[in-house]
Amino acid sequence: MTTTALRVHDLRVTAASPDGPSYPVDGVSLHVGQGEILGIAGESGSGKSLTLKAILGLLPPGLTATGTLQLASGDGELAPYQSHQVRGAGVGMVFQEPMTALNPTMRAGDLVALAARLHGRLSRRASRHRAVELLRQVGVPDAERRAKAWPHQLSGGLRQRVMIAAALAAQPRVLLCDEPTTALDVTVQHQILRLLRWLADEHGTGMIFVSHDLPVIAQLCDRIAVMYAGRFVETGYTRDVLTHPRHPYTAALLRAAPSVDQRGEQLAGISGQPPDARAFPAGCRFRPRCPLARDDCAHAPYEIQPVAAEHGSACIHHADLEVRTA
Amino acid sequence: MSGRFLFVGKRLILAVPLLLGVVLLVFLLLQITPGDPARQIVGLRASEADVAQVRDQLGLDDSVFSQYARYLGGVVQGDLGFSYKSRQPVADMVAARLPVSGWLVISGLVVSLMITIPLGVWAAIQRDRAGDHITRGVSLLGIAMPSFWVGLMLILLVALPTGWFPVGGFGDTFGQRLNAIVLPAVTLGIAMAPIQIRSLRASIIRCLGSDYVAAGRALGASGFLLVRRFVLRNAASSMVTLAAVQTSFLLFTMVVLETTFGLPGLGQGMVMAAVQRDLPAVQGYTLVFALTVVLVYLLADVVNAVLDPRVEIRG
Ligand SMILES: Nc1ncnc2c1ncn2[C@@H]1O[C@H](COP(=O)(O)OP(=O)(O)OP(=O)(O)O)[C@@H](O)[C@H]1O
Ligand SMILES: [Mg+2]
Repeated sequence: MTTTALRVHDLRVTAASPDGPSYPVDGVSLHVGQGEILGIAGESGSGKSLTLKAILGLLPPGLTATGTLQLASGDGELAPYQSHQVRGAGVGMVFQEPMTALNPTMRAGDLVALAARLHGRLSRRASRHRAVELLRQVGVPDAERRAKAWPHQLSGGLRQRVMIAAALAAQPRVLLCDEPTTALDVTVQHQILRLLRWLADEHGTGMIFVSHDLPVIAQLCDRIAVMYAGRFVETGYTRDVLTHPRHPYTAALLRAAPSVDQRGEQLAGISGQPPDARAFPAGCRFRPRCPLARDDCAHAPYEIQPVAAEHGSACIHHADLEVRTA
Repeated sequence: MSGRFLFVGKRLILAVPLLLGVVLLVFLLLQITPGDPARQIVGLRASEADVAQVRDQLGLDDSVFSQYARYLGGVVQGDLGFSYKSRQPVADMVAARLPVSGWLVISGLVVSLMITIPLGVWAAIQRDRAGDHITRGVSLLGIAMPSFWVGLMLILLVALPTGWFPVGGFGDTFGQRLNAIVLPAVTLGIAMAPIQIRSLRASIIRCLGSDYVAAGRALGASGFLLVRRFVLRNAASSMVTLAAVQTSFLLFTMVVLETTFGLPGLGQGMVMAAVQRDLPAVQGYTLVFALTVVLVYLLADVVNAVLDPRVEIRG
C-alpha cells in the first residue's frame, strides 16, 4: 500500500454559457499514490484535459471548478491546497501539444533554468548548470548545445523532453501528463514512456497519465480510470480492467484498440459519437451507444459500484457483463 | 542566427527598388505641377531671355529621363537642389530641421511606450475588471483630446505657471533640447498611446490564453514574472508594427505640434514651403518623409527579427 500523494474528490467543471451551465467534468474522484501511475483513458472530448487543468487551477476563462483537492505535504499528510501554491513543486504538468506548449521566444535551457530557479533558490549560473543536467537526465542528446536552442529548432520528441525536464526541475510530488506521446512517433514514444516509468520508480513521483491509447496505458500505468462524458465509468488495476472489463464502454474501447491481450480479434470502432457536454443523456450517459442498453439504464443513478477488489464500474448491469465476457 | 541576418539583408535589398520608386514619385511632383519653375525663380517681371537662361541652367529643356537621372544622381549624393525662395541648398534646410523632428518623434514614441506598456499590461491582466475599465476610459479620453488642445493645455497649465519649460523654440545643447522636447513629447505620447494600449491589451490577452503561458503557470510562474518571461516578447511584435504604422502617419500631428510649440522641425518647414510654393523644398521634405517611412518599416522588420527567433524560417 503506497501513501497517497494526490486525492481529488467530486471534481466538477462548470462551463457557463447563455443557454445555462454545462458540466464537461462531472463528479470525478481519484487518488494517486507515490510512485504510482494512474492512467485516464477515454475518447476525445470526454473531459480528460479539463480534469488535469482543473487539478492545477489552469482552466481557461469561463470555466470554473468545484470539489476537494488534496495533496500530500512533506510528512505525507493529505491537506487541501490552493492550486496556485502547488504549481511546480507540488504538482507539475506536461501538456498535450509539444508544438504549442513551449514559449517560442524562450530558449529550451532558459525554460528549464527558470523552473529550477523558481523552486530551488539557485543562482543564475547554478540554474543553468542544473538545466543542462536535467536535459541530459531526460535523454536530450548534446544537452549543452540543445539548451541554447529555440523551441522551433527542436523536434517534437525533444520539445516534449524539454517540457518534462522543466516540470522535473521543480521536483513535483505529482506529475500530470496530458497525452505526452500522442504527437510523437513510436520510437520516441517508447523512450518517453520509459522515462516516465523511471521517474515514478526512482523518484517516487505520482503521475496521472492521460491517453486515449489503451495499449500505451496497458504498458505504463498501474491503475486505470476509464472516462466517458465527464465521468469515470470504470476504475481499477490496469490488468484487471483491461482483461476483465466491467463496463460496456471499456469493452467497446478495447474492441476498438489494436492488441491489448486481444490479438487477432477484429478491430471494431464504437458506433455513434460521444455526447456533447451541453446535452449529456439522462441516466447512463453511454446508453445511446451501448449494445447492451435496457430500459432501466435511462434512470440509472451515477455511482461507481465495487465489482471486485479495487475494481469499480458505473454500469448497473455489470454483473451480466461479467457473464458475457467470461 | 545567420538566418536572421539573411532576413535583414533580404529586406535591405528589397528596400532599394522601393526607394527608387519614392525618388521617382517625388521627382514627378515637380513635373506635374503646373507653371514654369524658371519663371517662378526669376519672377513675373523678368524677360523671356532671363527665363530661358534659367531654364537652360536648370536643364529644364532636357528630356524627362535625363532630368530624372540628374535628380537621382543628386539625391544619392545628398544634393536636393536649391530653394526657389532662399536660394539655399534644400539639403541644408532639411538637415537643419531633421534633428528637431527626430527628437520629437523618438521622444514621443518613448513617452507613448512608457504610458502604453504598464497600462496595456494592467488592462490585459485585469481583463473586464476595474483596471481594464479604467484604462479604457483613460484611452477614450486620450483619443477624444486633439493634440493641439493637449499641447495648449500643457503650455497654459504646466509651462507658464512653473516656468520649467520653454514655450517655444529648440535649443543647442543636449540639456536644452531635452528640456524643450518634454512637453511636445508628452503631447505626442498622449496622442499615440490609446491605440497602442488597445493593441497591446489584445495581444497580451491572446498570449495569456496560449498553451505556453498555461505551461509557464504550471511551472509556478505568476504575476509580473509570468508576463515578463512568457508574454511580453511574444506580444511585442504587433506593437512594433503598430508603432511603425503610427510613425508613418505622424506628419499631420507633427505639423500641429511643431506649430503649437514653435519647434523648427520638418512639419513646420513643409507647411512654409508649401505656402511659399517653394517646390524644391517641398520635394526635399517629401523625400525625407518618404525615406523615413521606408526606414521605419525596415527598422520594424529588423526589430521583429531580433525579437522573434522564428523569423529565420519565415524570412
Ligand atoms: N473553454 C471551454 N469552454 C466550454 N467548454 C469546453 C471548453 N474546453 C473544453 N470544453 C468542453 O469540454 C469537453 C472536454 O474537453 P477536454 O479538452 O477535456 O477533452 P479531452 O478528453 O482532453 O479530449 P482530447 O482527447 O481531444 O484531448 C469538450 O468536449 C468541450 O465540449
Ligand atoms: Mg485533451
